[in-house]
Formats: sequence, structure tokens, C-alpha cells
Amino acid sequence: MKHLSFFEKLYIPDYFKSNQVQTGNLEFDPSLCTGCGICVKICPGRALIINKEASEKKIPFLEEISPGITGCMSCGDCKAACPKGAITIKQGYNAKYFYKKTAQDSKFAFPKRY
Amino acid sequence: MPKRKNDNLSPLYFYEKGMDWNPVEKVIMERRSIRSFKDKPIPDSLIRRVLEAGRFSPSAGNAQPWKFIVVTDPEIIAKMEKTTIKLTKLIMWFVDYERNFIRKIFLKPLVKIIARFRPNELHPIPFNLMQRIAAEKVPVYHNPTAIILLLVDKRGVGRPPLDMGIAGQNMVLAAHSLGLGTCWIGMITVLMKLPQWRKFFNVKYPYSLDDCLILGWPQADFDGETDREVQVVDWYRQGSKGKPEVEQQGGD
Repeated sequence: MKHLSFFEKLYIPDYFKSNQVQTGNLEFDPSLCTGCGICVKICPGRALIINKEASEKKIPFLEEISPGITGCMSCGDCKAACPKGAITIKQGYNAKYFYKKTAQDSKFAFPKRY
Repeated sequence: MPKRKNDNLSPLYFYEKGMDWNPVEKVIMERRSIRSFKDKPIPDSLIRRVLEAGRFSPSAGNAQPWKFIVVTDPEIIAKMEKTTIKLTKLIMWFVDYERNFIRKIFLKPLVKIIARFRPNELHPIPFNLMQRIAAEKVPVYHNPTAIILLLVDKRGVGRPPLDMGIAGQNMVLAAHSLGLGTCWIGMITVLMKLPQWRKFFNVKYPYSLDDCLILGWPQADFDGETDREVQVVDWYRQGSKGKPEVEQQGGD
């Protein structure tokens, strides 16, 4: 289990720097995605955007708030809603320093039938 | 991704290693917070049925430290939405340090000090959410058909907000199993900073309002299982002198 060091307990991260706050990141499989937009409708932070005017395939993407920072908290709602399974979570949400997650691993797993 | 299928469900009150989900587990695993609703009314009897799940929740010392308010009027909901956005804009004017470099220099250290004293309200996730609400990119209540306000009686036994959470989750799961879409909205705290809204909903001692549930018919089939971070769990099973065994819950 990870621990917070004394400095980490004191230091509040800068919310808009990617080396201090790691926001979620998604990957869309262009061969599976149909551009239906169901993920855009469910996204809690409305962080996903679908470009409707694109001439080719309309694949959603994550909007960046500032360089390297997205509105994604890797909740997985889009992934659950996607009927084609085109979405994978590339990177989980983890703010560093004071807000660092200590009991969760960076690995992802589906609910397991123990 | 695995989609909603009602076959192969295990019976209730029975366990066998590696068996399929039973109906209750299925609702828990596949429920997602729904934020886009159909423009279709919910019958009052269905809302009453959902409230019944709250009424029969466990609470410390059977104190039942809760009060429910149901709002179904679209005009009130629209007004709540408008006021919350306005107030969020005002709050963000004081704390949003990302707007320009002068704010970055003067406001950032101040916000970090406030975040130390209010770490839950100024966690990066609500901070980003409030920033996006102030920019009118994200709605607050997502046009629900009904809102259930969860008022906590501060005089309850032990920790009344925890009892309220249990009752709320009971209602959410019951509502979901009946086909409704639900979502917890904590941004109502912003609205409750205004005395006229506290008066409107009659929120006064001993009640406080910190959370609400939005209800409606989901626009599409959003449900399904998703993957989450593996949880690290300590197992104490080696006597008082032994060290805890660390296990990855959900991992291999």
C-alpha cells in the first residue's frame, strides 16, 4: 500500500498541471466506433466531444482543459454505455500529493465473480 | 461493455463459488449514473415506491434522521438550475486561478490555503466541475423529471449524514431496478447558501440539505459493467503478532 510522505501531506497540487494532477485518458477504437454519441450523452463532466461536421467518421475525443489535463475522471460510464466496446481507459484519474490515491492500484479490472 | 441480459441470473439467498450475479448484484454492478433523460413523466406512484425504499433503510438507533422533498415542477427545476449557475459563477470569480496570469500569481497560493481547510469542496474534481458549470459547458441538474431532496436531521444518532447516504443509496438502487435513471447531485449545497432558497424549501433547524437525487427515464440503454481500479485490501488473519496480508481485490 502506498503512503503519503510528510511533504505530500502538506502540498496541494496545482490542478492544471499534468505532472501534478493525472486526469483520465481514453482510447477509441476507430474500427469499432460508429459515432452514435451515447458516450457523449452519459459523460458526467461533459468532457467528451463529438465533431459533427467532420467529413469522415465521427469519433468522439476528450477535450483538454489545459495541456495534458482533461475533464475525465475515468469513471468508465462511457465504456459501460458503448454498445460496441470501442472505448478503453488508457489512464486512470489520480491527483498527486495531498490528493494521491493510496488504496487503489493503477490496474483496472471488471467486477469479478468470486 | 457486457450488456443487460436477464437470463442466467443466480437465485437470491444462495451462494456458490464463481456463480453468476443475482438480481441485486446485477443492479449494483450495472447501474450507471444517468444524466440525460427522456421528456416523459414519472407516475407519482412510482416515486412513492422509490421513497418507500428510503423509509425502510437501516439507520443508527432507528433514528430515521431524514426528510424527503419531491420536486416535479419543471419551472422550479429550471429556476434552481439558473440560480446555481449564477452562484457558481460568483464563487468561481473568487477561486478560479486559471483565467489569467495575474490571478495565477495572487490567487493560486490563496486557493491552496483554502483547499487545505476545505479539501472536499475544493478537490480538483469539483473544482473542474464548477469551472465548467461557470462556463456553462455542463448543466447542474441535467433536466430531470423529478428531484428528491434529502434533508438530514442533525439531531440523529451517531452520524446522521451517513444514515442519509444509506437511505439515498437504497432509493437509487430501488429506482434503478424499476427502470428509472438516477444520479446523486451534490451541487445543491451551492444553492443552499442562499437564504431565499432555504426558505423556499423550508430548510431550517434541525434540517440541513446537502444532497439530492435526480430521477427520470434514461434516454438510452446506458447500463453495463465497467472496469475500475483494483482495490488494495489488508487481510488480518495471522494472529495478533502476524502482519496483514495485502490482497488485490478484483485483480488476478
